[in-house]
Amino acid sequence: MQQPFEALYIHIPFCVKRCAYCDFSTQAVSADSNQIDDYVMNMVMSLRRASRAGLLSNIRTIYIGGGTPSYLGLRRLVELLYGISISVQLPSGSSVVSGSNVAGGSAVYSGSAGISRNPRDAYEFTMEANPDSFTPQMAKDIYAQGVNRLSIGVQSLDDEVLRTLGRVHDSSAAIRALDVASERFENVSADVICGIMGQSESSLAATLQGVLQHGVSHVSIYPLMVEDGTPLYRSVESGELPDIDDDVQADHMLLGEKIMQAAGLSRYEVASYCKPGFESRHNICYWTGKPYLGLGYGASSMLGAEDYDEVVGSGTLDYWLGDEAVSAAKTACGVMPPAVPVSLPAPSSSSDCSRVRFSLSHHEPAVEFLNERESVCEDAMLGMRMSRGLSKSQLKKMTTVAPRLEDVVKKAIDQGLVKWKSENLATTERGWLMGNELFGEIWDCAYDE
Amino acid sequence: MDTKLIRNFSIIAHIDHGKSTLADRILQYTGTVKERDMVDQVLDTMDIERERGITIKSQPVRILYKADDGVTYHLNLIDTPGHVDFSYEVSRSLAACEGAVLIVDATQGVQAQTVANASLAMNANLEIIPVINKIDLPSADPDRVRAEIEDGLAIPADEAVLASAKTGEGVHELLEAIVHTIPAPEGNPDAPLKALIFDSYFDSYRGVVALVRIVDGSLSKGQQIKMMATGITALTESVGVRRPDEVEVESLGVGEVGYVVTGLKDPKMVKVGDTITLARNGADEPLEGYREVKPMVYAGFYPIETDQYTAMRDALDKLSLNDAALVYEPENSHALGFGFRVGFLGLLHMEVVKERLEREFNLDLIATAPSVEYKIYMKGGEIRTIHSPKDYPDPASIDHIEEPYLKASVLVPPDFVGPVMEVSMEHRATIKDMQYLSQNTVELKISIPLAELIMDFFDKLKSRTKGYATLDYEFDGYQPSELVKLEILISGKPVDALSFIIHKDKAYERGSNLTRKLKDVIPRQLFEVPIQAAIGGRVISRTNVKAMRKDVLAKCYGGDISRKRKLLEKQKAGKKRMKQIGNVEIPQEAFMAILEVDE
Repeated sequence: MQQPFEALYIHIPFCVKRCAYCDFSTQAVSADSNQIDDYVMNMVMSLRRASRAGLLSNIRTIYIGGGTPSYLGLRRLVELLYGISISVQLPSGSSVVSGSNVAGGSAVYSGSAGISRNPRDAYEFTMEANPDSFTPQMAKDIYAQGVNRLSIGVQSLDDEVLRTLGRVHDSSAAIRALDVASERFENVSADVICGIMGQSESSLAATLQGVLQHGVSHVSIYPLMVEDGTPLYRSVESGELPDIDDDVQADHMLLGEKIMQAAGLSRYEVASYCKPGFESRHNICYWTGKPYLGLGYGASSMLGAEDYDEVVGSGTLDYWLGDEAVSAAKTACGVMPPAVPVSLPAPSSSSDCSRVRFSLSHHEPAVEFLNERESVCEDAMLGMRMSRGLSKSQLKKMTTVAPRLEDVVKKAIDQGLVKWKSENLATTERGWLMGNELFGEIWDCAYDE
Repeated sequence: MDTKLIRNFSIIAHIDHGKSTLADRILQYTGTVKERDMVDQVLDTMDIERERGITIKSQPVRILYKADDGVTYHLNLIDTPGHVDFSYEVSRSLAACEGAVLIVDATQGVQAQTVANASLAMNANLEIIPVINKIDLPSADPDRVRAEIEDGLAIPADEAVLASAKTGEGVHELLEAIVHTIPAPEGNPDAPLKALIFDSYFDSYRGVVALVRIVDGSLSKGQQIKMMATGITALTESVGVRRPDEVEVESLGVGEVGYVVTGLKDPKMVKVGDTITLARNGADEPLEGYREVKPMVYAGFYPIETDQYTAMRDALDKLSLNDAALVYEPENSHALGFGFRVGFLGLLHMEVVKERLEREFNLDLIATAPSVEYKIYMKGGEIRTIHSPKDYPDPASIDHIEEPYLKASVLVPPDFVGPVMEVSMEHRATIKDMQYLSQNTVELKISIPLAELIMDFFDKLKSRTKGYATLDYEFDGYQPSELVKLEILISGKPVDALSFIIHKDKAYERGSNLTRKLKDVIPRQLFEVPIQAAIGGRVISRTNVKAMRKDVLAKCYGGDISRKRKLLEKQKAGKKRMKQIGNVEIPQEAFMAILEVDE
């Protein structure tokens, strides 16, 4: 492969219960369900096949997300992590540079325990955990298996607010989880939601102070979205809950930034704050156009067009069947259906394809072919989502492919959404709150006026 | 054709008193339309006519009726539009007749359009046969209605036909009354041809087809004819009668009603009310009563998608082929782009045209607030006629302004006289006269500016009188009025499509209502957007759309990227559908808001 995958995402689409606001790809399944066992087994097989085909030889970051990965329980998690350790070659040693440009050797990651891992590790290996299913034993075992970063779904430390969100844990469970995590891990992140109906500024402030006091080095602050079809949406529609208020969300986002700043965590992306050196390298891969491989139901992959045929042609990727297909097959024969080799469509020769993104869920794979201009605009849009923004030279290169970017940048400067900070075009305070104005205009440059 | 055996008549009625149903029964009873071809409202062929239960185009049909005296008569029924918007067309249709069947609902009695149509018929010297319809209803009260017809309309009604268009009762008696009461047409078969055009329509294969009544002389295929008002000549490609399908005939003689295919390609050449004569040895004088039909109400029609401008022009061209009263000219708005200033006979006409453009031509359009035609007397003595606020001159140069007034007649039960007076006051109308037509019906004669009537006068009248009030009106000349142009400014820029001309006493209220309404309709933008209402540069009310403070999708990781991008595309597309004025994006609803503003 010319540009092998740098990031690996593993999706665990199971939860004890769907939260009221959730529209992610996950389902509530009983913890002892065979369905979960089968899924993990299939995942390990997929990893093995991908590894044998050489797709995992350049992986620098791994992210196990969900759903709720901690809901798998220790036995299955260890099985999965072992599967990863024998499939993925991770670089060893220390990286000097933080961020995505990880320098690293090519030694095979051994999976041995006892080595101190910190953000200066040559690789990043994150797992998401929720307070209700995360235990001290789990922290110990996954640490031993190579996980070096934890992302805890705290959301709030206000029980009233947690109830509105339909979370299954309370604030004390969240604090316990943070304590357990930070006891062993140096790199712990907390997810926090702001702008929730009924959430006061002091409630948000207490939550943020709380997670900081309990040892996190990274915080993601998301304004709540009321997504169509969620229980929260229905509550708002029926008038049971008030709708979210953009002004409140703006105030909360500003407050969040202030508190983070005061605690020494700076914003490096729209919703992401960290202590120096604790940026999520995995996420930065997404935002800088690095090729990534997503395995599991609902996971997306992205790679250059030149590698697409090779990867797909290798026959090592499987469909991840939808829930209905899985349960139908199980009803019919009592077992998980065998993985089906992928046959993804090829880009039409006239499409000037430079990048492909695909997802292997459901019966039909979802594939998206981006041409050069679309790829560039996507990178520009994602680049402006980060604090460092785009350098003059990056922007110049992008403008040769998407000339309208020049006008868009000028207009955004006039509107006070972006400004030049030395050699980089970066988002302003106002730009963080009004990002869609900018992102929408940038993406629109992919198309003719 | 023996002229003595011809009877030409119209059916006139207030809306919903059963005109079309009675016509259906007559056609059925006389076997003019076969049972298996029978549908409701046979003569109303447009979808919109059937759905709304209205008649827009006149339709003649020849009925052969063997009367009790054993003679077969040729009855020509001319079905006419009932609505006041089309009163000129009605008057021309009536001019083609010797008699009229006046239908009055046996439960509702005499209503405003009953009065209006009856007086049109009397002015045309028609023999009127009153029919009291719907006598099958339990609440029917023929005696009361008979008294109303006699007292209110001064039409003898002891011989009124009692009928039910629903059951067919009374149809035979009506046909006998038509044969025996309505006189046969008179005319000179040897005089030069005079044929009255009472309607016309456009046929894409044959050009303009005129519907005519022969007054003098005769008309045959292959003759060179002349339209006396326009001076246009044409060769008659065929002549015939409708039964109701077209049947070609050798010629049409005195008193006959039929069609003539002119082959002309422009409907404006064949005008309702004009007289057809022969190109050589024609008549010297046309028939009386012709006038140019002038629009009363104007509105801007703009396509929502600017690339639909050409489609809209083509659609208007096509519609106007069958609607000679429809006038339009290109208009350009800063806010809405290219569109048309369209003139209508009245509000119903406007609604019908708008609906047909939307339904028959799949156009999405914005209609601006309807306006009337104002006469502006300039200080220099010049008189300007304007029908769009865009053309309103600098107020300093205006001496005074006149606006069109209507003589309106409102009929209500006595209990509702108060509410009618209230609504009239609110609409700058003055009560000129009030009289009891019967114990149950009061007629109020009012003088009201047309501009007020087209706002929401009738809707309010209906709601405050629990639906009892009926209204009719006619043009009553121009009167001086204190009118001003109310401008709406968005971010300091006047928006032409939101401006309108209004009486100065009402400007303040309308201005503040409208700015408040616009504040709700215009979405928050990057910057604060002030909305102002101003008269002659002086701001009379102001609201602000606060700046939007947050619009960002916070989560954007691997799998989300495509989805988030699609959301951005959707947002962007939504913005593109809005009208950009300066740096403010204004949604279509804002332009609708101006039509809906009420207290």
